[in-house]
Amino acid sequence: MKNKLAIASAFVAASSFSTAEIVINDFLSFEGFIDMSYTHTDIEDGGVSSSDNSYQIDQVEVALLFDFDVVTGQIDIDAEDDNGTNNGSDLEELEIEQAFAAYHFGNGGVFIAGRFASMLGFEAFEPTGLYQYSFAYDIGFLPGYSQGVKYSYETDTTFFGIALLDEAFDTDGNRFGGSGDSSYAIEVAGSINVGNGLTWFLGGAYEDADVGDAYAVNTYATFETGAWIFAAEVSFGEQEALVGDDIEAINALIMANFAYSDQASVTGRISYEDFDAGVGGELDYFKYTLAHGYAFSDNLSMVTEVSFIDGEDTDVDFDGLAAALELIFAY
Amino acid sequence: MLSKFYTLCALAVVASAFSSHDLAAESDAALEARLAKLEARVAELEARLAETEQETKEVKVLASSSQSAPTQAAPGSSGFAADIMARSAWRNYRWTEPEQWDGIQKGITIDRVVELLGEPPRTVKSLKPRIDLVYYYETSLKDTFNSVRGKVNFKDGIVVSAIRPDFEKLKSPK
Repeated sequence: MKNKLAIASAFVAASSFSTAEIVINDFLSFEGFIDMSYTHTDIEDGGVSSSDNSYQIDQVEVALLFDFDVVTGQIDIDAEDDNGTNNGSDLEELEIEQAFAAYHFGNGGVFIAGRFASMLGFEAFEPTGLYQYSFAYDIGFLPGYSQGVKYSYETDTTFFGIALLDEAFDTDGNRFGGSGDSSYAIEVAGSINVGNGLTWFLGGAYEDADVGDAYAVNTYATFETGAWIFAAEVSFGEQEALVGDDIEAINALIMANFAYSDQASVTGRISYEDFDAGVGGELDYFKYTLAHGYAFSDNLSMVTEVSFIDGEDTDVDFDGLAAALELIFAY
Repeated sequence: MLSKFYTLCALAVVASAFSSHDLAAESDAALEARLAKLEARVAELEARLAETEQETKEVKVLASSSQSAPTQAAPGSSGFAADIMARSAWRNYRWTEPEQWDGIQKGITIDRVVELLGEPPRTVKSLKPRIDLVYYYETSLKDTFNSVRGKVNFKDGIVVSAIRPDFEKLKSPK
């Protein structure tokens, strides 16, 4: 789980360890959140208008944290709303989002084995770590959760991680070889805090898959000064296509967040994505987002957001306006 | 009282040193060397005093622990076991000692907070924008009249604010 703070994300979140918890005993504790929202969208696609409303529990997560001194472990049990795509059911199926064991060398080095989150990407994977309700990219191509092993090393100002994974882009059999379609992937990332609130992150992932190799490179910088946080990110990637042109993608964002009180902050974000799927068409758009976050307490917060999206889907113009009201309870 | 004793000892040593030598004849360098030795001796005595005070606190915790849990001192239990439990109680509940909160100041690190107060029974990644982690030190959320609650707020691993438990409330129950 990544931390919401961009500055800390490179050092704390990338290591996939949590520090917040309700302690059961010296060896076991847990944490998690409930995320719910009301949304309204108006879309005009090729001259055809439509609108939609929804109220839903977007995600529920419970993380079990085990601590046996130099050996720790974590299991994230997660249920997400899939908008009816999974047998028409919402939140009815639990999944293990993360499950890993870690050995801490005591010098900043950690070895992890299991299923864990990718180190790449500025935006957090969980709603508790986002500055807004929505993600910057509606498609996105950076890796999510994968199985494998990872070694990371961090100091107060630097972070480095390398992971050998069964897959990175979910395109193949994910079996580290063997008969039939299979794949393996490697991910490398590093960051440095250069001082004065400025942090730079650079990482990449490469997947060797029988159905087409793929790679992605991600870099972002964050700058924190007073109550302001600024961020800029660029990513690009490519996937080999066995037939036709390769798939190419690029996305980028700039963001500014201002905490104008102990409880509240406002965020502005502009994001861009260009996804060229070869024979499958091309999608590109700009997304403009304005969000306001208000924390009633350390555990309960509300995010309101308005987003405007303007783009082109295979030579057909579209635009849309979305509003959301989100409530997050974290423990 | 113990500190006064050590201070008097130090002064006696100084007085003795001054009376047995001709100050006029002694060089400045020798005097400085002697002063440095005395300062080192005072520092050593102060450290020993601090250690003695810490042990006194642990003995107090042991006494209160034994009263609240008589089974810990059951026949057959060794002195070592009682000592281990007392030290464990001190580690876990030292945040209940008001003076332990005196060192909680803006700008200190998480490690220093844990050193002073112990591991918190509950923490949360705060949803507030200027705080990213909160350490809660509390006895019971439901016991409105007798609970002790304090918390320490962190941003990037550094204390930004803290709320000290209201110990006076406990000392004068209504």
